[in-house]
Amino acid sequence: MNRTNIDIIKFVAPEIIFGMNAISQIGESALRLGARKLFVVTDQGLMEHSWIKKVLFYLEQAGLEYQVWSEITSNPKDTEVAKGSEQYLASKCDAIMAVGGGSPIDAAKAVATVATNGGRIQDYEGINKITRPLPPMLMVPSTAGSGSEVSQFAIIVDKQRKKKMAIISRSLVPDIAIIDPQLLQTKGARLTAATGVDALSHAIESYVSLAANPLSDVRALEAIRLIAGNLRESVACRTNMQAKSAMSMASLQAGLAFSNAILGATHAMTHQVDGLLDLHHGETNAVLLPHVMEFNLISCADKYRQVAIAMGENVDGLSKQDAAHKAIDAVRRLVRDIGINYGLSNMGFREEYIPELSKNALHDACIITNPRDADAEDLARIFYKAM
Amino acid sequence: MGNRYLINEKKHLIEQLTGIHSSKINYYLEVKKSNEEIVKQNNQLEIIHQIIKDINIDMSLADIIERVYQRLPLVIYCDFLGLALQRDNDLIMTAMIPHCRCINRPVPHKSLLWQAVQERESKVFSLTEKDRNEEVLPPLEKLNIASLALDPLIVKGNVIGVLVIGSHRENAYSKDEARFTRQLADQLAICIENARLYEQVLNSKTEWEETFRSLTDPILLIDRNYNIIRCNNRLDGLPGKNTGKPVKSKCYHYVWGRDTKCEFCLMDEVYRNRVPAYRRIQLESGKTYDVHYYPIFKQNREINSVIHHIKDITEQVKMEAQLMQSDKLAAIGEMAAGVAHELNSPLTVIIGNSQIILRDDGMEKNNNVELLQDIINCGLRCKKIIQNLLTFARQDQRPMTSTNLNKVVESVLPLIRYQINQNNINLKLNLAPNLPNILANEQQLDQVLVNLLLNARDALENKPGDKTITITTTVRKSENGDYVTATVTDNGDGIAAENILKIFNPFFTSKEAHKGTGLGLSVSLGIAEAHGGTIDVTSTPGQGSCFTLAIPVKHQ
Repeated sequence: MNRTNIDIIKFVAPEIIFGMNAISQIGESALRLGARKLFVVTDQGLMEHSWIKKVLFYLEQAGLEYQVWSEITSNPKDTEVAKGSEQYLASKCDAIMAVGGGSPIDAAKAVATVATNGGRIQDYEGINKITRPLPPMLMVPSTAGSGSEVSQFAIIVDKQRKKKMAIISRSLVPDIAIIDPQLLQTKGARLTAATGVDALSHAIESYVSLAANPLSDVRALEAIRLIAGNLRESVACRTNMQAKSAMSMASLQAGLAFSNAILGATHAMTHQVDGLLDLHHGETNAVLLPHVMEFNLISCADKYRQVAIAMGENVDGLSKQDAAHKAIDAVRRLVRDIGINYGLSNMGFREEYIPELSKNALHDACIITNPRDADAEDLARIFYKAM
Repeated sequence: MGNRYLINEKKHLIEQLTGIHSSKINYYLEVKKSNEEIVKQNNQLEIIHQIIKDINIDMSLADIIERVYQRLPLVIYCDFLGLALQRDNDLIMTAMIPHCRCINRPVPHKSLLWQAVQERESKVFSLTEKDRNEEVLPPLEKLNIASLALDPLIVKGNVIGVLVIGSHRENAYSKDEARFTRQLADQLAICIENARLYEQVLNSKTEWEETFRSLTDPILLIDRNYNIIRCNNRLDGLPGKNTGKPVKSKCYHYVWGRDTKCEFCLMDEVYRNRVPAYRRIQLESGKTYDVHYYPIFKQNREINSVIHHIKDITEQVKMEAQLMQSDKLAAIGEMAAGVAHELNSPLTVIIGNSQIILRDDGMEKNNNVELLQDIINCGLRCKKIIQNLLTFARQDQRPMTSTNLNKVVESVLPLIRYQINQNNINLKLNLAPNLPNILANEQQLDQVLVNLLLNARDALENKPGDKTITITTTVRKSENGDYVTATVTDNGDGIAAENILKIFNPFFTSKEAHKGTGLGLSVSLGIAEAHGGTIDVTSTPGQGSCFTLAIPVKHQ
């Protein structure tokens, strides 16, 4: 099932602007997209920071109009998306921009989808359901984790069904991603930790994905290397710009990797849990990732060996299996070091959810590219282990 | 097998997720697509625009449909175009191309057309072979319509009919076409409604115009500045030059032939008093008019314009004059008859007795013979005078008889001799011998001559010195035939130049109130005209006047 080198591969990425003070390029970039008035999606948390003012200032400087919309919560809901689309259409904006973590960026993508394709966001759940082009999208991440600013994914919660919907379409790949590590300073330790592990899970899952290819592999490994070397420092100190910068790059690389190679069982499962409990996606990932790696180990031990190496483990002379186990250990250590040392049960997750969620996870698009075939029972076992 | 399927399914999904066959959808394609749509819509709008431009407000529905049919194939398939309009409770096929037998017939209630009317919605149908033969359509025999677009024509919320567009092609009408036909129907509905309203307005306009045309009197609508806004076509008899167009001309110029406002104009009075006004005017030409002014008010009770109604009452006034004259004559007649009756008996006695005495005394050679002869002659003359008086005053209209004007002159002389002598006026007679006879009513000619002579006497009343009236009869030859004339000439006051044209107007008089009625000359002229003749006048103030009655000689 693994790709061979003779397959034709395709790698999709937005225009990327990376570096300190990259946000100064926002006005210029928006003008290049032909925007006159931007619909700026952000969350309430960021509204209190001076960064958003700075972003808006750069827009004004470029002579652009904008309308700010911040009525979203983390794990954006379908109802919020519907309101946002109405607002977008009423505001007569011609481009959309998100400033924030994964939630505002995914919400912006979903708003763009509903505004141009009509209907409800549920209509686009799944793969390639979008039929009409979206407005130009410009994403400015304030966390180093989701990778949504470069990915073809948007994850939206269906409030009624209490589950996360994965909307996957190449049309969701933003046009421009502006990544400025300075923005990471706004986030506290817990969020930094959660988003960091999210990026790690992206990197590891896409690296072992059935759809992995050389272009994505390079990025995944680089992301793993950067996270293993910088996440602890980033969590530890808000103003460690060197660490923040490295984490930004890691998140970006991981985003490019999973956007093009897709993910695996970890994400298929966390999508269910987050949808139900409204938890931070990164924390759920942190809890589930080692267990999923254990389950997948027999299908991709070679690749896990590479993961271990990337994480700085010494695997010289070890068997394939042992080397692969090193990777899982390294992940467990990292997760514990940054303060995530609890199981699902501590997060309000109860055993009776397991059968249902295991079944639902099989319908998540991410499960398709998991390297080891899994049925509902397999997933249920993983859930039990992660309690 | 199942595994193979699963594997293939998985491959397929991975291909979907990461493969080369899905891409970010390109704006350019969208822009191109929407541009194409815009171009298409533009074309459609252009066609609608052209169609609407082609339609005149006074076009028949059949013409409208024909125009649309010519243009329509440029944008949509169209092999049949029809128009069904609501009339009472029916839907009538009013116009169509190609022509079918169902024209002007009601549409069956089973038809799809009714559906469109009742649901007030545009509809597109694909018709199966079976449908085409049923009554879902008006009987469109042999047209074999496979696709049908129906659009109700809605004006101000009311459905006035249905536009029917059909094509032989299957599924000829998609959403785009439906939108186009909807727009077309909306525009046509407006056109049809406008045409309908226009016809109504035109009819009521024509009705009023015909009403005014049918009136025989001149009627004009005049604004504050005396400009004619509208008028009917009865201005011929008026003194105006009637040059150019009446509209925008000044009324005083166009109607009355003047360069300035008429002195008898009542417009100012109408604007001041805000009520209709009326005046009777006599023109020098002898025409008499009743002139009415009726104000027309605007919404805000201001006067917008004035209706100017002119009634020619010349004939009516003449009739009145004649009636008065004949009343007068009747009174004289009755008196004269009474007097004559009273005088006849004594005169008979006087004449009779005188003749007896003369006969008896004649034998006795009496010296009184001459005296008696005088009594008899005078008696006879009295009788003659009384007879003439009776004849003059007699009211019965006799038929025209062959008459000699000299005889007429001679018969009136006794009647007025007293008046003439009273005023010490010399009466001279120049009667032409061998005057041809004319066909005339003697009594009426008597009246004319008496009138002319009495006028002459009045003209001499205040003249010192020599007063002379001359009566001349003669034959005048002219291109229009021969005339016999009687001329009465006086050397009296004469007539002022400004009055010379008015003297024939009824009720015009230059005499004191108790003397003249202003009827004599007008009645005389009427009599002359009734005989085909005229009365001419020449006058020099201070030197005298000369009236000539001329009657044509009719060769019998």
